[in-house]
Amino acid sequence: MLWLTWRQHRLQLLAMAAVLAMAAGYLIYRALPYVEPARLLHACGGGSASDAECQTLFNYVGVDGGLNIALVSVNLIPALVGAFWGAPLLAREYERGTHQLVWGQSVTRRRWLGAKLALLGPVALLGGAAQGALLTWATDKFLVLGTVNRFGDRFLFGVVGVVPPALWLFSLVLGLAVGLLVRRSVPAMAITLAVFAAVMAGLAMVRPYYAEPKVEKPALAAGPTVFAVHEDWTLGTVFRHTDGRDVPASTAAELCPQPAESAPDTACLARHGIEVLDKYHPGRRFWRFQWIEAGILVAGAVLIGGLTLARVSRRAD
Amino acid sequence: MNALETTGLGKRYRRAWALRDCSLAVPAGKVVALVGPNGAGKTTLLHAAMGLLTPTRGEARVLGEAPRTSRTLARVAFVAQDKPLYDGFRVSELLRMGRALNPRWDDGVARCRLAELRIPLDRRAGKLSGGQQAQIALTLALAKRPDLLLLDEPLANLDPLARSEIMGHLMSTVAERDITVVLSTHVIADLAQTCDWLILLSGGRVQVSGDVEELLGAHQMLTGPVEAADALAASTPVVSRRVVGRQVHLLVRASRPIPDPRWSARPVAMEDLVLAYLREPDAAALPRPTLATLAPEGNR
Repeated sequence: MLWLTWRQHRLQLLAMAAVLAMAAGYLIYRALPYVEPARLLHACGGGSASDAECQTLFNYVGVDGGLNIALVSVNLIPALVGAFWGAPLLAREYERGTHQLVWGQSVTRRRWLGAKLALLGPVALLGGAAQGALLTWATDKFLVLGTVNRFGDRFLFGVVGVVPPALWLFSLVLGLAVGLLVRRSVPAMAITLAVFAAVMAGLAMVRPYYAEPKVEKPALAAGPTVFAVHEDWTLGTVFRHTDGRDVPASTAAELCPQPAESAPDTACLARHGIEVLDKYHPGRRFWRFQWIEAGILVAGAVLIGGLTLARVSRRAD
Repeated sequence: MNALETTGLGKRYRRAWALRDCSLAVPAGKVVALVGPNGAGKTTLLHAAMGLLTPTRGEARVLGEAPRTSRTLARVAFVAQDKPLYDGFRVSELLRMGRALNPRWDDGVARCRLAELRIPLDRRAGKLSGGQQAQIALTLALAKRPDLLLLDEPLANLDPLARSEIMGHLMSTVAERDITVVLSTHVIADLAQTCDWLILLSGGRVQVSGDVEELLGAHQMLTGPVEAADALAASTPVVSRRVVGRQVHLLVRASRPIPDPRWSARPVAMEDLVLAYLREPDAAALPRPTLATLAPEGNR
């Protein structure tokens, strides 16, 4: 079965390895110039570098749109796992009628599908881990640009850390289940992509609720001499009256009109007894959120995978 | 033990029944012709035997066991109608798959057979002709060394030479090893010479299931005057009647000679029998004494 699984899926596996290698090549190429500044950044954070040295980091702050597109497009990779590994696994057999061939061999369907998942599942986890490690390393270098926030950016959170392996596995199993229901490869691939995108969007919507956000006075604005990167996840601003009630933003804007897109006038609001607070998840919660999201995805994968396996092995058609 | 047995088997797709109330039993060691017009339920019956579908009613048992267990799967082989193969696999890779997935696999038989057919092992299955693909599919099934071989329209879309090659090889294999073969077809002429059990399906129902010799012995073709037909039909089950001028040809179910001298009798050929039943789908509504008694009733 191991050989058959490899023989049937080697094209997809190798293609995905190539995609990953290309992404790795590009990201390493882009990240190498920032290896030294990133090291310095960490040194500055740890206080082991001189202020003069840390000053130089300001030279790197800049907007790099091309880079962000590259980083965001990494989100496609787990989706491809579902579309190209998962969806055709059953759909192609049904479509070509070869399920009648392979399910007529002396191997029960439970073993057949179990063996396939026993190879593809771990490979997906490994691939996802590789992607996660690569992106975590690369984005760490890009932090000096000041435009990268792995916690707060919904398109970055899922490509770094421990979420990618869970995403790869979930996507694989999702494609498998869609293939079972749809039974034709191309529609199954399209539906897998759509459902996967919906799941990603859904996760991004519930992600802020993994923990109670902190509502605090903003830290003093960092002086021009200190360069530091915060990966806090800012959720918004809260206007809190001294009596404890929260005031809607529109009321605050009426009391102290400000030009659009600019920070609220704290001095004016303070005269009305309103405090301006930040609502945010501190950066140190990053890993907790990562593990929660990975856990949700793995649980979903186990559930869908279990149902699919049961459906394929119990029901005859 | 029966090689294939169904009790009250029925399968409904959406509104229509593909197979309905199908009860039959085929003893081991037979070469079975599963005959019926297109859409009669032949494929449905074979799929039920392979566990490729869930019956709506009743059940199918193969070699005395439920389909789809690993023990059953090792002893049954199936070649589906379209002879599905993995198109991208080389022939040698298909053999490797067979070897990997089947404990009773006989690699020698497979290689020998493909060599005889001059099918190159390094070609991709998708690049071979339809006839060669059918031969490969059959080879994979035979190399499994099954006790029961189910072939769905194995001869369809093949040229006459390939047909006779396949049938010839099949029959020699059957002779060597004591296996049961079920072949579905809508062209009875392909199988008339070789099969010794007949299952006739029509409109999703079993019309006939029985030993060919006994079936042929239990039917007669009578020719006589038209006006005598109704009187005869009152006492003897008539399967089909065909009027030619003042004469009528009746296919009747009767093993003993008809005493009435107006009737001249001749034995029935398999093609006649099949055609007669196929022309009269309602003949299934008649009692099937000679047919049903062959089937053990123990499973009801």
